[in-house]
Amino acid sequence: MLALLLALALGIALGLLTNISIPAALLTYLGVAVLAAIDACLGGVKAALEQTFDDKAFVSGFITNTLMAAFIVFVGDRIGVRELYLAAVVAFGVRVFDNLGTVRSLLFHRWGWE
Amino acid sequence: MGVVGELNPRRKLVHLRDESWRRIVESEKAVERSFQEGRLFVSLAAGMLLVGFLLVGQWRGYASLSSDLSRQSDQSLGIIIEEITAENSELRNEVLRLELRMLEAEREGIDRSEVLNEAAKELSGLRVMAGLSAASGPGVTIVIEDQEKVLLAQDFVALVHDLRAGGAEAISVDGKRVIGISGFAGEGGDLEMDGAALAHSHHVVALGSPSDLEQAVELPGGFVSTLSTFPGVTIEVSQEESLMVPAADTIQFIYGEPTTQ
Amino acid sequence: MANNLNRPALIVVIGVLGFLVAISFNTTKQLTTAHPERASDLASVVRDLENQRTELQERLADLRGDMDVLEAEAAEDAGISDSYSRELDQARQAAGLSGVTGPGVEILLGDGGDVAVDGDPNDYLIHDTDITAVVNALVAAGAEAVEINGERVVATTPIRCAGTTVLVNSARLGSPYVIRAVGDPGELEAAVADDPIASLLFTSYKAQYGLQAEVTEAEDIVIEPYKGTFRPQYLLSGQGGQG
Repeated sequence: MLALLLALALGIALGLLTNISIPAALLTYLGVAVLAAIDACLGGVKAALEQTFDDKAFVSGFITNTLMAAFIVFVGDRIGVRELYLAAVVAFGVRVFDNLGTVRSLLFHRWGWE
Repeated sequence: MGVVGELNPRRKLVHLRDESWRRIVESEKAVERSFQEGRLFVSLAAGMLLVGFLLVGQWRGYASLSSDLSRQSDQSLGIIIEEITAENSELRNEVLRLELRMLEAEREGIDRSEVLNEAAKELSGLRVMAGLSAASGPGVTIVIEDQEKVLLAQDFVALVHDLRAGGAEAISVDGKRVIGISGFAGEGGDLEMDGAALAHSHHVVALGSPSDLEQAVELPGGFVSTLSTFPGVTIEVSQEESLMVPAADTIQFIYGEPTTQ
Repeated sequence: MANNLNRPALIVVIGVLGFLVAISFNTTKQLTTAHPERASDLASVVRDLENQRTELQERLADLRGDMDVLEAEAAEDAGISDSYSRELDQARQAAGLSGVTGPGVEILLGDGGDVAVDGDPNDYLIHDTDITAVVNALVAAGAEAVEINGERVVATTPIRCAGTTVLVNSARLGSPYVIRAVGDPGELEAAVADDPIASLLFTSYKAQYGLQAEVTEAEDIVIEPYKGTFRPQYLLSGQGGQG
């Protein structure tokens, strides 16, 4: 658990320190990709807690989630429906909160609360 | 937590799920107990209180003044940005020009004639734009036919403001110069400007960038599109290279007293 | 207990996630500080521009003051100081570059009260056309100088709307609007009351939509000078003119 948080903090710190940025036009892509990545990671945490974690499933899920999200933004821009990315936001968002709930109860159970 | 031995993964999962179910049932009973004890009531009340605060905050934030920038559409902000950017660059040019003149003047030393020459040029430019001198240059002419006499003073006011928005540097209506304190009055065919009667076919001249001026009056919802729909009204706009507007009548201060800067 | 959570794949990927979040943050920060023209927040661009404009106006006022001193000296040396300063003053006053004080009226126009259930919100706001109607009535009756919320109305002053704000010169004005005019107080007030369009603001619109609309006569109105520039870009100076 601690290792996960450390990894997150380390990733953020590294990004801030190197001050890497992307062209403004790609901000939506990055935002949706981040959301998809959060969904994949949270799903991974859940799977780990439920003992169903599978390296291959997780990594491939992460990659396809992020790519799919970016693709939806791309299509939206091309066909003139810029709000198409909202579909990805809603879909991933729902899953994030759903997984979050499950992870929370699993953690509480593991820690002996409730 | 119960005792969990080395079960195989599948059974462990099922066991976990059973545990979860059991805990749900137990917590439901606990909920009833705490509800009866009033603890749940307190936390619910606290939650509702928070929601109430948030609602008010949202409400207040939404009902802000019409001059609040964050409520304007991007298009309006875009117009404002264009306006201020143009004004700022004019201001900057003027500042640079004056700074240059001051440097030169200080270098000139005893010979003040250059200073006076520059001053004379500035003065003449100022007189022209203030309406004290006649002016000439490129611009547009607008010929308005008003056979049914439907035009109002307010229509001419709107036209003048449209032209100014398009950068008009000098305007005349039916041969009379329009300045800041020129006003239109009358209606139903007896229009007058600054006390002088206007005819039923009007000739408006505006000096400035011909294309900007034409665009300014032909904007959707602007002067030409709105007034062309009135019966008997025809409007013709043409860009010209060389036009003239006369000087305005003498500007006097009877009631007001100018203050020196 | 922590073993099943310490998956190397999970740890690495969560690190990557943190990295992506940081990149997102970096990009947004760079946009809104270094390059105002590309800022995603247009409102802050407007505020920046307005600050610049105020600084420029102040600098210009200072320079004009200095230049005046210099020109006055030069005119005195050349022996033409009297006629020169007279001409200059006359031009400045006609253009609106001098402030004006005197008797006149002060008119307050403000947005109205709560919008009725089936009402059109636009009816409850003061529009640029309302302001131009009042200003026109005032100058048609002989007002010698007019300002709106500190912006002097000169020969090149446009009054128009952008969204729910009113733009006078290049300044963004909001409700309430104070229109000051110097002239015969009684005539000015009568002109506004008699004007077919302007008078509605003070009668039926005020009653129906709760607009603020007041006319006050006063003996000591102070009108601001014009803070902009008069630099003809298309005009060539013509011959003739008044002395």
